[in-house]
Amino acid sequence: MDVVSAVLIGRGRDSQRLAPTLGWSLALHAGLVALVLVVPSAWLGQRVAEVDDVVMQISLGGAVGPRDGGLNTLGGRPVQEAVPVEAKAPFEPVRPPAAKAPEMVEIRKDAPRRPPNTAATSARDPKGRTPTRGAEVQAGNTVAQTAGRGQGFGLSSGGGGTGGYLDVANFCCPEYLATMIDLVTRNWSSRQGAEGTTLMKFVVERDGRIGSVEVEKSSRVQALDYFSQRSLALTRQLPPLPAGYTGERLTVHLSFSYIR
Amino acid sequence: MPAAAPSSDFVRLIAEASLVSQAVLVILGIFSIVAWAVIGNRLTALGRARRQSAQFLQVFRTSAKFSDAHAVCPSLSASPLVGMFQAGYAELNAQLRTPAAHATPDAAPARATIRSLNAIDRALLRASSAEVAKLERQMTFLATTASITPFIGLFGTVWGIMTAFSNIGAQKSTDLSVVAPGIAEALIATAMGLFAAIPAVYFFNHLTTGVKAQATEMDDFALEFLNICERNFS
Repeated sequence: MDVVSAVLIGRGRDSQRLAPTLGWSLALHAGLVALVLVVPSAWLGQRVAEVDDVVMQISLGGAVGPRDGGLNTLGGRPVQEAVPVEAKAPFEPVRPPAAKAPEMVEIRKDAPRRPPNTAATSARDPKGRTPTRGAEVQAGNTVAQTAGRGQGFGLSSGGGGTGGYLDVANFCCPEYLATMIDLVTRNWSSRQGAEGTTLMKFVVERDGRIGSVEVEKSSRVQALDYFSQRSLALTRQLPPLPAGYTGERLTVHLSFSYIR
Repeated sequence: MPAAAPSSDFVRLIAEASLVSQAVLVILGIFSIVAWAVIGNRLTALGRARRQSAQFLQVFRTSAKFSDAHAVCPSLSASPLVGMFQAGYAELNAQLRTPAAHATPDAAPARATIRSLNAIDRALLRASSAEVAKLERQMTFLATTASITPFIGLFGTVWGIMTAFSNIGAQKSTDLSVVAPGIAEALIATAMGLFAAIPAVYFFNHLTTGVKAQATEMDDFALEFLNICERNFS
């Protein structure tokens, strides 16, 4: 072997070993880890949360921000402040003097009392239906209520010239007569197996009671007269006479026409 | 002022980290431990070489004969100049021991001469290369550590952030208490990578500079050795 090579090989054997410094390095890192474990977190830059720190803010009125400064919606622009308007006295209209309050009176036990209303409030319904109140839906073949009535057939208040008539001229309230005929019709039927016309006369009292029923002109068929009387007897009660009619009672002549 | 609590949060973050993050931290820890071992080893070796080289040069320059310098070589073996001297001295002796081709056995002994100065130069050059390689031994690990540990830490960070976002998706919450621990855990890997890389970079440059200085000194010594050989043995 070359002498120089022998020298170089010999020099290469006595190189410094890594093991001793590796031990030192291990000890150094272990010490560093121990230091991290022991050293307070504040020294490592970790802030320790204080007990009274605000952890979370909940705002129901929008984002949390300073009450004044640049973080407003106008971006810090100067805003002209409105001059407050002087309050004026409100307009007081001229009012009439207030009505005098009624004096308190002592309750008298012997004061006259209003007589009780013994009249029935509605006609008896033979079919057991609840009496309608107010506007009624009329049976017919029209799609809309026109308030028109047939002429020359059945009960008539005189529209066709063959119905009934009143003792008074220019009766104020034709709607009352329509109501009356409607109520009487509920207790009457034109088909009785015989033909004929009965003219009945009766009196409507101020409170609506029907009285003084009599056959003014017979149909010459006793049964038809009887049916006419019966329908008025069953009706018995009409609405009170309208206020527009000033008389005490209303005499009605009503024609009942029958078909076979 | 609140009492300073131990850094349990820091430790808890590492303890609660995912397996991948913990593996990354362990790898970086191993890199750091070995790197610091190499740093210590090389610093010690370079310092010893510098000291012993100075001592050897003093002996070499004050000695009248090469044999005087050669006598101190075993005690100054850490010096690279000693290695060069031993190589040059071995080559010189080999040339001096070999009889000249034209010499006759009857002739009177002549002054010892070298046959090839270039051969001594080559021997010194070989020794110089071997000594530089010896000084630079294990320094490649420092270069490797300086290069890849930031990337390993970055890998851990990316993995941790992936986990953090996965947790955000799973818990359907972007609350800071859900996001922050994952990101903090992820950033620890980067910090650990930098912790391993920064000393490796610094000491690699420092040791490289020291090795270059020793290499320059070796070149100078080789020229000085050749001059002496040429003056005395040619």
